[in-house]
Amino acid sequence: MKSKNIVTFLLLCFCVFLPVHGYSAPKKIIGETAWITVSEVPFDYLSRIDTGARSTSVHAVNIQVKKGSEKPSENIGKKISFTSINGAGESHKISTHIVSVSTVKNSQGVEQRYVIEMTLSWKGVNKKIEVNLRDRSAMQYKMLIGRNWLSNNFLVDVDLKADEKGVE
Amino acid sequence: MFIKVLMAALVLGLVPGFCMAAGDQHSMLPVIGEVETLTLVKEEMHFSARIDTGAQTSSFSAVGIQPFERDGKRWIRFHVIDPITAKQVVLEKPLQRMAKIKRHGELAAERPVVNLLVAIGDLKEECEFSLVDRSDYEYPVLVGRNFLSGKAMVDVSRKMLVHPINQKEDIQK
Repeated sequence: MKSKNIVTFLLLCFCVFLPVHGYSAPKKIIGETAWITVSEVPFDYLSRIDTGARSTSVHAVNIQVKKGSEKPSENIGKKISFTSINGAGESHKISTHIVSVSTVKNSQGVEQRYVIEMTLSWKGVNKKIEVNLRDRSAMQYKMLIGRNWLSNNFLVDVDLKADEKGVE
Repeated sequence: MFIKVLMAALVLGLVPGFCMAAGDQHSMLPVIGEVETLTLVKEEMHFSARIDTGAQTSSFSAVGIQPFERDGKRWIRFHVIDPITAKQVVLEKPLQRMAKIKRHGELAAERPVVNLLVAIGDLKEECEFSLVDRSDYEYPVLVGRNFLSGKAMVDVSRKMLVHPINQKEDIQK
């Protein structure tokens, strides 16, 4: 009788818990900067979390398109290789294909950038998103995380920031 | 007996949920969306604002920016355009500082910075804004980290979460 009661009790706990709290994972709180892991690269990037940017951008140099045309838009679907370097100077050559060309407007004017796919992860959330390639040598953060990665999974609290030495 | 078990189950079913919510929302700041209505409190004007964690200092679109001197201090006279009436309104504020804006491959630009009393919903603050002509941009106001710090978290999958407060009604109450 007692064990039956306990089973009933646990079942009821479960039945109450699920409808009240829902099934979707709660949004994770991320700071103004964070160490982002990229599946395609063997190191992390100290990244700026930027709700003002629509798309995510990564530092890329030596961009080469195989059988590339002068017009960026004609290179969609072609193979592309580039070297990406993080803030600590670690570098890695990546070969993939171009999924689109984006026209980015910012305070420096208008420019076209190649867009590839990458899987970016932070604290157990993995998201495959489109990332545009840009020479970010002159910039403090070699990866800029935009709304296409943040949407639906994160809340940004600017009072939090990544440990710059690499441990979070 | 069954009722007792049911009551206990209800209570214990709810408790972990509350703890989970509290544990995750460790900073209990209110959440705002990627775009919100910002009110210039004294002037009673409303603007669409992009909430931008990538910007240190907030910025406000202004034209006809003119420095002048008042009582030996540096002031700034500028015009803001009311998005609803399209009328230009002249504002005069003491200059707080000049902000250096980093520009890739260009000389650093300088912008005047003034304090403006602004509100997003009931988040009201006197906050520094750099003045720049943003008429080429979608939003006349960028709300940066200097406003957001200690005030709100940003959820980019939502927008217009807070209702602009009619500050005049608020004062009369």
